Amino acid sequence: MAQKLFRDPLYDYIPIDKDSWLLELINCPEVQRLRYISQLGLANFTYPGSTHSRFSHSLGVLHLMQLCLSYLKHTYSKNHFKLLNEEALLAAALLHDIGHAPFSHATEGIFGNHEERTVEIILNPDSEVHRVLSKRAKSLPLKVASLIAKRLPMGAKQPPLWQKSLISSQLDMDRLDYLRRDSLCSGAEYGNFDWFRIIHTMQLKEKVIEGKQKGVFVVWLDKSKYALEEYIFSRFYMYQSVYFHHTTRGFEGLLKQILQCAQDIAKNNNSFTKALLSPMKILLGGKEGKDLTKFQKLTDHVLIAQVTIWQDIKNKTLSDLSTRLLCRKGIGWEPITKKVGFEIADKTTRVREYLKEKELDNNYYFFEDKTRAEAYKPYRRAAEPKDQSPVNSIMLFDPKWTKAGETGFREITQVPGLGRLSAITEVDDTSSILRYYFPKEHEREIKKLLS
Amino acid sequence: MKDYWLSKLISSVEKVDSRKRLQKSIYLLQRADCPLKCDYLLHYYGPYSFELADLIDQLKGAEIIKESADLTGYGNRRYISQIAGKGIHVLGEFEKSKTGKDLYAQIERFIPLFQELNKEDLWILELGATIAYYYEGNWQDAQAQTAGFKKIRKNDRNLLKATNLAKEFVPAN
Repeated sequence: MAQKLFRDPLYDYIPIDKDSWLLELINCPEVQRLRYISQLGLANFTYPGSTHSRFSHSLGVLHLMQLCLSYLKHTYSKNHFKLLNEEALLAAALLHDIGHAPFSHATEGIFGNHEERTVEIILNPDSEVHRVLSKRAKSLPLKVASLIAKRLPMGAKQPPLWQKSLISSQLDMDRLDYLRRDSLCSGAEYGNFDWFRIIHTMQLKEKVIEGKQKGVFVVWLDKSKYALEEYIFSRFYMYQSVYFHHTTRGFEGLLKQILQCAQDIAKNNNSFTKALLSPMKILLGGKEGKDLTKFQKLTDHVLIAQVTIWQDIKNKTLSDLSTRLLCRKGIGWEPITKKVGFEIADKTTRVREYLKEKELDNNYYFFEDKTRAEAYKPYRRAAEPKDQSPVNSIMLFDPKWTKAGETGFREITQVPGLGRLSAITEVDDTSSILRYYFPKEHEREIKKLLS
Repeated sequence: MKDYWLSKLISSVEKVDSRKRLQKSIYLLQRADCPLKCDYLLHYYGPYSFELADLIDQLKGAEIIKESADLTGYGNRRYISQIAGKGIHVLGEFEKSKTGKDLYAQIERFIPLFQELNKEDLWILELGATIAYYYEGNWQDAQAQTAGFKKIRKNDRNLLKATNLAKEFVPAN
């Protein structure tokens, strides 16, 4: 069959069969919308090259899933794939991000969890993606949704965890694409690793979990351990240098404060609500918040247009915060290590009082950022072996590890020769960084109050 | 203030004998409307929360709690959590403030429930949390799904015990 070729900076070409249902799926408006959602939120405030979209990333994930399934089918007999739904995995790879709101994770706290929205769109009979999937097979939307959803949708069967792990786990097609793509586009060259080897040396092994319960794990053999180690280090460097960057996190926090402020104004101000750009009415929550037609039109451009309009609004706080964001005015910050939020509650209360004295609304001008609690996390294994699954841990297999009651499976940080991984996977000072942000012009006084 | 609530719960017992117990106990408390509200997903041992695992790490990193590893009969490690000396002090100081008092009021009624769960048989707790996860208005369906998921008989006596446990935490639809 003739192929449609997408030019891609990572894989050179991504081929999709012309006249295929996948191409039809790519052409759905819900997928095309991802061209207008930036992959890295406001990371371009720090790394100006980070302007790539969720669309190119989603195509990349689809491409890797195609390679992965082709390798697995070539390597294993049909028995292993009794329950494999190849079409559902390919669709889930392409669609996994369609529920992202503008600037991706940056606005998730306001517009809601993207995975839940993705599942909602896939299961909605009015959506175009649902139509294309159901045309292929009536049960396909539910199968795709169950691969993506954290909580199994009503009426769906739990898909095998190893298949779910290809979509979302500590080492999935999503991460294999975004680490390298974000690295390339940001110019922070830490995200490189031998992705080809990782995909083409995967193994499927059955493990007895408990009593009669068995589960198939995606594992790697000893020969791939350095490729996996390189992946974990790359991931760590990318989190430290790009995803957790204090400037990016600060401006994303500011955007969230702006939206929070607008939401609060909208509660008691009809004229403000009426003046909102139509897709922005999702901010109002309730029925409006669930309106998928409005969501389809809610993109980075619409949000930026709205914030531009808010620069001239009467409300002094919203207008000032909007200008601070769009003009990228300096933002002050203070990191707090080895402490948790409630421990310094007295200090943060004093900062709030100080800002109040300066006639700055402390609900919006002072905010906290907990990097660890957000969507991006460096590799953290499940601490207890009994808690390890294909989803939460990267596992290796070696028949030698079957002595002394061992199962032959080991979580990667427990593999001989990889002890150095503990330097980035164990709990240390950097694992609980709290950051506080505030107006730059009050930096000296606020830092003193927080010290 | 999830960090405060989790520290408070851990401080209310002498020790929590495994992270698995902590994961499943918090899940059941959340189903009873405990304000922690961590995101959970389903894995082999029932509901599991990355967010909670991170929260535990944060508390450990800040020396609010301490963890020690213990070897089980099967040679597996498990992590025992306890409130640390610094944690007791910090909790005491925080609870003198107005915010501390307000947040305590929100968690207070869940403390005795957590203490009960801490004494519960771990297998029953795991089954109970899984049943609660599957429950969507019909206990028999949730039981059947759990039996299938955990590969046990549908009339397993433990399944009935676990259902009763789940019923104490999940409001009937």
